[in-house]
Amino acid sequence: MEDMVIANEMNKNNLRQALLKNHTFILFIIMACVMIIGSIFVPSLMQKDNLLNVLRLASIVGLAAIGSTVVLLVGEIDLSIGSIMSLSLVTGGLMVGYGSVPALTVTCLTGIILGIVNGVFVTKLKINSLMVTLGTMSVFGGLANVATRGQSIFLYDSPLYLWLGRGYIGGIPVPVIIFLSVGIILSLLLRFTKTGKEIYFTGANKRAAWISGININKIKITAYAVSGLTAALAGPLLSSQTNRITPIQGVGFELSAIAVAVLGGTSLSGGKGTVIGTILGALTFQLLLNILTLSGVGTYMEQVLKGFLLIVIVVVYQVVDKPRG
Amino acid sequence: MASDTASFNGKSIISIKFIKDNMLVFILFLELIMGVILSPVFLGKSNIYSILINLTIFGLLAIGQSLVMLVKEIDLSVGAIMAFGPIAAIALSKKILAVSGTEIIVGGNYVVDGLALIVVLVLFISALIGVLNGVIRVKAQVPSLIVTLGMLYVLSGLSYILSGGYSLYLTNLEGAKWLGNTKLASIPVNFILFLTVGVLVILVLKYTKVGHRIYSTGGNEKAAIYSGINTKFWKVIAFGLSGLCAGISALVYSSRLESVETIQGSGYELISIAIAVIGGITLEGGRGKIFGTIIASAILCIMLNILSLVGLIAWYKTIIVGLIIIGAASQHAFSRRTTE
Amino acid sequence: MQEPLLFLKNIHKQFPGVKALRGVDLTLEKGKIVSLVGTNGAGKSTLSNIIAGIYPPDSGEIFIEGKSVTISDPKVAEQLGVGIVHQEPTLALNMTVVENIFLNKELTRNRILLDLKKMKQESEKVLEFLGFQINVDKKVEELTLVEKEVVAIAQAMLVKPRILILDEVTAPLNKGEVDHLFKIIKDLRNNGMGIIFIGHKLQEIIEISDSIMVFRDGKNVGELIPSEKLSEKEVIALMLGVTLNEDLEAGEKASESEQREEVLNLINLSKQGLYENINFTLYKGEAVGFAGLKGSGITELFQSLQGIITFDDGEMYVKTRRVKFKNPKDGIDAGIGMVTNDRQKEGLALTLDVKENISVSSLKYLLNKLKLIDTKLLKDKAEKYVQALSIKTPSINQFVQNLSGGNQQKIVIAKWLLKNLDIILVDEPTRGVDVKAKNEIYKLLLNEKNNGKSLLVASPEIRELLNICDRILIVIGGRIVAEVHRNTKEFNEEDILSIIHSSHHYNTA
Repeated sequence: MEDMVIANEMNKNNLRQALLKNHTFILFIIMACVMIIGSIFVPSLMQKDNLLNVLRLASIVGLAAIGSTVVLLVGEIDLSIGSIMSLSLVTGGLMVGYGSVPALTVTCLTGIILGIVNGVFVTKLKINSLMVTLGTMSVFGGLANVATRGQSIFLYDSPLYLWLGRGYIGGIPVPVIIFLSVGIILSLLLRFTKTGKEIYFTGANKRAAWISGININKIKITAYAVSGLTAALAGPLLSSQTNRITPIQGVGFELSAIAVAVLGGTSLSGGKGTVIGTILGALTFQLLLNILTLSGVGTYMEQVLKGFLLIVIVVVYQVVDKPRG
Repeated sequence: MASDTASFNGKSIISIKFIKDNMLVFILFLELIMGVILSPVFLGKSNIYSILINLTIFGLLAIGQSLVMLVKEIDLSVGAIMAFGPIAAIALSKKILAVSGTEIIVGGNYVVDGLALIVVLVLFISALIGVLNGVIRVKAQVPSLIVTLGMLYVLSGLSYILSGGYSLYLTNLEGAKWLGNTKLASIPVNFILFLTVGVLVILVLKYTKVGHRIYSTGGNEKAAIYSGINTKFWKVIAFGLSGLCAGISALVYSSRLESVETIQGSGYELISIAIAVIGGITLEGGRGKIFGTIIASAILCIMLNILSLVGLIAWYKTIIVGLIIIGAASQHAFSRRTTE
Repeated sequence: MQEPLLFLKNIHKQFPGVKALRGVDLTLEKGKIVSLVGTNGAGKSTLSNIIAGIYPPDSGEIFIEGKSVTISDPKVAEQLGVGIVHQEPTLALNMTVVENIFLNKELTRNRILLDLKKMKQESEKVLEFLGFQINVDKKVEELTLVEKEVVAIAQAMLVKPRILILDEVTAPLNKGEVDHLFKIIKDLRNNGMGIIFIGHKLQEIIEISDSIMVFRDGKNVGELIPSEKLSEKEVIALMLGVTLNEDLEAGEKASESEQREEVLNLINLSKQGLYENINFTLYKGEAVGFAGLKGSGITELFQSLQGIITFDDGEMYVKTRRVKFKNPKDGIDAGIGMVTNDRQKEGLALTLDVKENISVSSLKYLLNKLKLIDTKLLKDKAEKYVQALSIKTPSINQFVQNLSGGNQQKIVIAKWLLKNLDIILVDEPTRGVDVKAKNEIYKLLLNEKNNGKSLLVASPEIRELLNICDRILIVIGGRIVAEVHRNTKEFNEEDILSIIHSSHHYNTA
């Protein structure tokens, strides 16, 4: 009996310890504080329309960030997310005359293929992934422009595209539904499949993973394919906000995606992070930007805050991760 | 007879090694020949000047980036420093000189006075930001990719806030156009400046302790620490120099255009990394030479120039730059693997 | 009376989980060579690192010529006249020989410009003094192992130290090179330098030392003065302590079954520069030990057997099937797995939890009908092995980085047990593991042997092999030079150590 009490007490202590070291938990607290303080100073924050808007925008960057998370989990990086987004949008956009469904299918397939190209370069050429994706970022981005001769493709005749970005299902914006579904599915896949487990192990220790019999090349290529797919999925949601596909739509998204993933507690050194964390990261990120916009600080302050937040949060994570003693 | 054959073999081995060691110079040479063949205006005066100004701007950034990469770090903030340095310097100068009653900005956004102070402040602020990057990197143990990415956001946001998104014109500022538009004995002064900086860095790395510190910090940090070297200090120095180089590059850019744009330099961080990699600097640290970076700057700028001359639109250029980055990085990865 | 050159008093040093030094005293006089001997982990390298300012002692005092000093970093050590050659040369491979020799001690003209010419001359002079001709403009990565060692020695010699520490410098050298080096060391001694020499080859030690300090478990347990009469056996006896053979009974007697089934057969297995002509057969339920010094090629041999590296020549048969593994997965699929000597770098994902580490190689067998991970089954399996191996962890959800070395090691073993491999290769099973956990790991390995698994065990601690193994192969310079069976009289620590530590076998490279 007494043993059980002690064990219980120990569990409680462990739980408290674990929570304090859990990035997702820390972020959750931060987000809650942001919401509370924000709603006091900026009452319009809590209005339904505003919150839905925050959710919608968070979903778009969040989707791309989920892919980024998976790549970071295997201990690599993907700087080509923005360009994959542009190029896959464009290839789909060129098909839009055949209907929205074929176009969207082509978009997704392009995303996956481009992701695989990244993965193959990283694993077969054995080049640092930062370099590979820096290169493919240029190449894919250039191809997107070449394919459309720099022109926009308008989507007024493609209601499905517009619905994806602006529609509602049961009062919830469609992007939010897509974002959460993809997030939950990937989160479950990471937890409950062999590949998911192997992604974490590979990221945590590549050599040990290899010696343990994991095909680390296959795992890395898979991660890049996922990243390509989520970037491609985020594209149409973004396009429909402006009714058009442009070949530069994704520019800069790679850095936002990485920032959100890192904000969500994903480690740059691999093997650490969760999709749920990234979802929270996207929400916190967008919420803060929204508060700043509403309080009239000006859109440019958003940039400053984005950078500041990124550095500060990573420093906080670094501090809580320091081993005791 | 036998000895003759041996010496002949010896010679041929040397010449292969010679080509290998000077690959970049050969590529540059080939490129020049191609340029002459492909375009009649390639050797025209105005074309050469336009190559040289780009070479200076990108080359300076790439030298700074190379120093950071030599200590096994990366600096994504160099492009943002190019805008923030001048914008902040002008804003600060305005405040400082207003105390003595001098108004340096008239008509909303025409800078008319205070050049010397502005130049000094650009260099100081740029270097300071580099040092700040380095200090956060080594003190908080945050990866440099994150630190400098965050800094990129912060600086570009601050640039907008300070400038309101408007350009600042230097057309009425006496002396402002000198650096970007004057020639000495028909050589642009900015190019002379670039070569001076380049040669100075090469000499300092080769002939002073600084080079040994930087190469050992990046090459084998443990060996450096065991020898009593303060590797953290040298990382901060490398970041500081990178910031300083970005500041100089910003001076050239703004002087050339006689304006300060809020978005100047955006995206240049990636070009600077590309040049460093083409020049043989690797992300593994401690490898490569600044001479390579300088030649690589020329290779990239001349190639971009040739591509425009033959009428290729910008989009193809980005594709080709991307392929070159991958090609150069895999070439280095491959040659390292074969030597190991 | 003259003060001793170096005097250490009651030095203590603790690393997380390990008490490396527990009250060490040492006196080094001018013009003397003091050798430190002891088994691996006895604290020799820790002590030399403290003298060189790599890390400070937890307590204790250091006196140089009678003055109490604090050696806070390597530069201070250098100023005090301490030169050190580390066990694994710490050189910047990307830099040239001369740059390495003068790292952080560059010569300058007028304080700014490097004096390249003089540094080159000085480097060549030092190398010439050491009896080697190396192109000083070559990058260190292009040098041979021997040359690297020489550069490391030159680096330490450069400042003309009063105290020189040589930590296992003779390991990669051949007999001629060692003789030459010893001549130099003796010259230096005769010129008044105090030298601390750390080594494994006892013949060498006896030949060169003025006195021999014997270390055991972080303490110096005795001092021997070399003479004609001093034998290697006496040194070994002191290294091991009076408790020689005490825990032998922990080892079970060899289980000689009637029919012996061959599980692994190697014929002339060779890998250039690492090992050559390895021939041996492993039977089911047998444990074979490999004894040898660091760098003898055993680790690489084991790695080849799982496919972590590939062998060059020879034949390998697993249960009569000829194999050549291209990657570690091939080895695992054939039923062979290695517990590497560096569990943190090669065995574990420290930031993941216990169950994830145990199950990583067996996920294929832990799926349900939907091809998803059967979490219940995974938990059960992990808990089963945590219990069976008595891994001390609050739960299977604990991060591996929070566990002690011994428990981490057990997790690596559990990974292969869950995978149900036939042959387990264990390289230094108890490195950095405390005594209690050591015994548990022996028991665990014995238990698996008795369950019909076959084991190959490599360890610098002979006692460990005596406990677990049915026979022991002794490897020197990549060749098997002797085999000792459990039922022969040579099956004891002293005899095996004297084969390993004898100077007759040098690298033939």
